[in-house]
Amino acid sequence: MKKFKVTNKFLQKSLYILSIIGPGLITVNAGNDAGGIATYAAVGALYGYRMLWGLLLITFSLAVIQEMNARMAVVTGKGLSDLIRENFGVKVTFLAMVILFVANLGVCIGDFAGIAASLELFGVAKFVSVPLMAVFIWYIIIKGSYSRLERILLLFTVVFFSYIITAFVVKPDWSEVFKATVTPSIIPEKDYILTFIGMIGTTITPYMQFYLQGSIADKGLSLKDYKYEKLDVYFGAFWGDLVSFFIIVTTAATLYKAGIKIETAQDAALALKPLAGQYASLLFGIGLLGASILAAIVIPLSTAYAVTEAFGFERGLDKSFGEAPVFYGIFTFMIFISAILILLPKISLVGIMLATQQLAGILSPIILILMVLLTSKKELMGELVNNRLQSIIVWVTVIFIIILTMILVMASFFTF
Amino acid sequence: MSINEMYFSELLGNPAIDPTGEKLGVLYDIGVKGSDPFPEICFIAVKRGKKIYSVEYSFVKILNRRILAFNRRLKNIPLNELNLECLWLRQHILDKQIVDILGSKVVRVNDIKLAYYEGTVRPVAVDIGLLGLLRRLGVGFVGNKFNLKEELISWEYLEPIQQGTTEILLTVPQSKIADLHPSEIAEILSQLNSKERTKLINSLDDETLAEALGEMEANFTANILENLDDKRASEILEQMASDDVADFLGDLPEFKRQRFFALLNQQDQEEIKKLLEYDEKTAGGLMTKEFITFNEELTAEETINKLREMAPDAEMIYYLYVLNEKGQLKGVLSLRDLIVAKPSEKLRKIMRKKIISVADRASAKEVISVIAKYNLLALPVVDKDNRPIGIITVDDVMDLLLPGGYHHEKV
Repeated sequence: MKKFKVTNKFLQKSLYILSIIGPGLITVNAGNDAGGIATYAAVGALYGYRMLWGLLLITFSLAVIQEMNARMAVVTGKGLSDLIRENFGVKVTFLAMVILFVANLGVCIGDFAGIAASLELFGVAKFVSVPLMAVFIWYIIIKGSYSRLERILLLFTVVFFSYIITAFVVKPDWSEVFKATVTPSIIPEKDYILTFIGMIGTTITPYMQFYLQGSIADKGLSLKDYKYEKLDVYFGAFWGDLVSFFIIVTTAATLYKAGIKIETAQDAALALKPLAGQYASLLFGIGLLGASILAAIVIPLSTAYAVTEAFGFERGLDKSFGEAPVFYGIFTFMIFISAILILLPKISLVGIMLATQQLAGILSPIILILMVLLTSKKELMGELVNNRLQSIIVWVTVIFIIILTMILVMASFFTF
Repeated sequence: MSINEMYFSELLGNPAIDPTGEKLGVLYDIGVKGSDPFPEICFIAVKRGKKIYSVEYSFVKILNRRILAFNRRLKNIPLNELNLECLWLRQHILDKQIVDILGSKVVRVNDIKLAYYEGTVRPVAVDIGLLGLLRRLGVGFVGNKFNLKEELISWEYLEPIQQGTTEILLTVPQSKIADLHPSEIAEILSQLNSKERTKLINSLDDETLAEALGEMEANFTANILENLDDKRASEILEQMASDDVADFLGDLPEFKRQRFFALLNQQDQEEIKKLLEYDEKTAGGLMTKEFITFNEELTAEETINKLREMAPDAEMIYYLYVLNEKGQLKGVLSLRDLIVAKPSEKLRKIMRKKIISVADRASAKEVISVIAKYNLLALPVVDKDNRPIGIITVDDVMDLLLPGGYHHEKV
């Protein structure tokens, strides 16, 4: 007997043990991928504690946004691309899917950069590691056998918790950290804004919204379970950003104080030296590799599912390439184009990781606007329609990102 | 395209005017009713500013790709709230999912084709193809350039999954679903989202659902069963073949297994417990507990009668196993042997005494080679006293032979 995979439900199944903890927590942890780690490390190294206040605000936005995903999933039982298509028609869906695709491709490229960077720490040249890993990842996906591997990879990423320990080992001035967390300060220069957008982009990624909603929808929760799911999502947002917070604190207390800018993965690993000593690179490399491979599997596949679902194309790994050409085409393209781009000569891997998060940040408002419109629809959401506070928080987030983006665009106009 | 055919997407947004040219608004939706075989238009929804009104179709004089024209002045046309009795093409059909049962896949309605039928315009088909998608994006010419073919599903085949609901439509009558192969039902279920899935599941009878669940991965099966009430879940588990139940439970983490185990009846619990003790890769792990045995003293006629009574439950009735009074396996009999035998003949006389069987600890490899060597449809598994404890059917062995296990079916 042939058994059917739960098609778009791959994550729920594969991260089975973790899914008991809850999709909210997994999503945020999965969001701390190569680009995320690079961004947070760079934030601390470049600006010390001066962006911590931003992270605090983003955490509230993230919690509210992900709660909207959870609410939509529980009320409608549908994924985000489903809802966008059914409520906004083909044109808007097309726009949303282009954004998702571009943002996800960016993240995927960032993750291949992460693979290359982490293996370079172990002395493997990217011209060897990247092609091999691309083929490996593609093979794992089409074989549908990533489930066990995913658990192992998630375990790898546990090493990022060592940033939390390091943060205490290096004994930063906690009163200064606290003060910076609650006092907004903006440096009006292009790099600062770009880094800030990158931080938003890696925390509130379009991909995470589609992914979280899909995995909650697949659980088929009833309305009475919603309060637990809500807790899960809030806790997930808080916990995920707590790790980010400590990465920033650690790199601020070590690299920033020492005046080291992050240019390679080696630099980011340096931040762990007070704790891990000579093993810092090893520790960092393992975490980065696990996070990168995990995301390089999950992101292309979830993009393929979201797009084919929105347009009603055939999908699923139990279909053949001939039966589901778009589905296979999307993830195959994403994997190999990412690998090829990374192999272009004279490219800064950390630079790519940062840039891809910035791209995701710039694109995310459009998806957020669609989400807020959906959750404000009484016909769709019934009693669980957005309340005023929720709408305000999301709109403020959206407008904030748009303003930052506009300042950025103008800044690049005037500097060039 | 003939003048008599048009697409819903071409009508949306057209100006709605009266004979004097006064504009009411733009066409927003079309409400239809009945099906014989195509529904008739009963209402038109017009959007004016932010408000949406519905107008009876009898006031419409022209409905074409350019305009929607009324047959009297606007002041003489009653404007109503949206009538919820009819099926609205935009609200209920366009962009929604359709279960294409014949193709066992889930597709989306990209457009709706309307045409003249018995003198009036009616929806005649839904467009699920790329061409419809491109037309909606405003680049239909691209599709024409590449000579893309239309993919239409005739309206005649559409049916809501439950009368009175509009959310999910099927392309063949729902009564036909039960005729599909369980694996096709499994495939459809796996592609639906949870709400739609629940609807489809509620419309399936227990037996059909049980068979379909036997084709799914454990976690997915668990997910579906968890969303049923305990009573139905336990009925479904009872209907499932015991090896499928054991496979399913065996793949679940402990705490979930307990929960489903509790739903089984006493007898099944004991059977399953035994099956679960075996390693998946042994004869015991592969076997099912549903097989048919007869005492060697029965006559052919008695056996046939008894078979009629019990056959519906067993997975395999082509081989009948014959036991002595101690319950030991003494012979085997094909259905054919039984039917051609004299009615009064005892089984002991007609059975074949050379029995091929394996021990419960035999390896899967051994099972495969025995089945292949003797061309069996099923192989009995016996304990150390030669008492049959289960059978392994050839379809369960097939899974092992496919490289990469059960999800592998491609490239």
